[in-house]
Amino acid sequence: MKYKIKSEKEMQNIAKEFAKILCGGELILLYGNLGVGKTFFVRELAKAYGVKENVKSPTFNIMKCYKTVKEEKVKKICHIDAYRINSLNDLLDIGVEDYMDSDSIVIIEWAERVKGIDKLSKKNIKIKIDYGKKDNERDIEINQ
Amino acid sequence: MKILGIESSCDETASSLLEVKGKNIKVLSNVISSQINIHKKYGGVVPEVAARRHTEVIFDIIKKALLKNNIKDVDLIAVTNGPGLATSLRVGVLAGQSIASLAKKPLVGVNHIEAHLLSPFLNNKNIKFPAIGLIVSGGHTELILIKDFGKYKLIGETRDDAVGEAYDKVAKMLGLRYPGGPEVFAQAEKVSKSDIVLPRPMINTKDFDFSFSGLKTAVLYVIKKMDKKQIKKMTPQICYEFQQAVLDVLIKKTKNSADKYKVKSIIIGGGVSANKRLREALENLDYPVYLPNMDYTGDNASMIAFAGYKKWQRIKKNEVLKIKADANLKI
Repeated sequence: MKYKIKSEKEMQNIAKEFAKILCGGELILLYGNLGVGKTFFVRELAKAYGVKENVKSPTFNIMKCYKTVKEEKVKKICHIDAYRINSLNDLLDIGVEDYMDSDSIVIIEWAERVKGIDKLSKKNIKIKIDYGKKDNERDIEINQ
Repeated sequence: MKILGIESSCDETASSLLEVKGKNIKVLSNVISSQINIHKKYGGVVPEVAARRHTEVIFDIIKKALLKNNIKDVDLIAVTNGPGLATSLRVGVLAGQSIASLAKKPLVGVNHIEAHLLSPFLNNKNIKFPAIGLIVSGGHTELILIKDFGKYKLIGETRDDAVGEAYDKVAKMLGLRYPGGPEVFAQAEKVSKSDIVLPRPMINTKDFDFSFSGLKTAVLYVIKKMDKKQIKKMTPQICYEFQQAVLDVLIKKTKNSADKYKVKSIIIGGGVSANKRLREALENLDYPVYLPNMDYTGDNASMIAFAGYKKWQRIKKNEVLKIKADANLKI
């Protein structure tokens, strides 16, 4: 699926729609450069699941989990930032596998930094966000 | 009373010996082993590298901090148990627990943010409550109302990126080195004005929250319109305006919160409090402003020892078996 969007509102809508297709157990890999809106996307996805806590950049703590309230299938969202991570081993060392349950989703920013990251799960979804022509525009590609 | 402090929440392994006699606080030692050089090549902190390095050096650092004192001369041990990197925190907590158990000394767990908040007490005697504390570092941007030691209320925080993180990321976009704070500062010092215009996110909102992600994106939009040569030429001006935007928001919200809660002092802590322009701007406010000495702006264990001492006065309870490293510990 490819989208061309022109505002934060449109990104919000895509996140909302995307939340509907998840059933738990998915590994979501986010690709895209500084400032394209990866954390924004995760925040809106979390909101769609009724997470009340504000999703912040996890660059410092690397990983943060949020409990959902509304949705029954997905009970937990685990948000990881691979900006400071170099290898699959580093991800395994911080215990990423412990969070990959059938009732949770794991979403990883800066997936391009970790070679072989898609081997972590068979149920992985890749989302690429890129700058559009104008400042507020973004191209989003979702591959299942 | 002598207090041994231990800190390993991020990329510094630190230990300190503090002596408290009545109202006098004396830092006997303040040992810090930084991993900045190791992390420089990755452009940031790498958690597993960090934890491994802590394990290698922590006991040597503690030994150095003890100077010629025997561990038996220490009355209390204080260790950071959060927030921070989970694996790094665990190294310090385990070291503290082992030493406290073997030496039969009481151990208290210290919140890293509380320790930054109290860091100005190491070199200031006259701080009066209530106070507003501004914590600015690589992982934190928080405004905290302090009614007394142990009585804190988080009144505002960043909704996305921390200040120090925004500095690091802007530095990265401009091809400057890690850590970004001193690099961006040095570039900004080369000019005294800027033709670049950046937003001041959330500056007029009534709450005390911050947002720096949008500012980072605004810098990106500016850079995207330039070629490499132009970027190089404009880097000082971009840095100047970026820093000015950050300072404007930090100062305005700090002042607004001080006015609202009618505080008697403003205190600042965290790595970004080393920024000279931030220090100057804060000192121009109509409040007594207390800053930590440069030695205590970044992560250090003297502030941990002090916060541990204050906690011990409140709870008088040995937490040696109770302490757990908690990456998301709240104040």
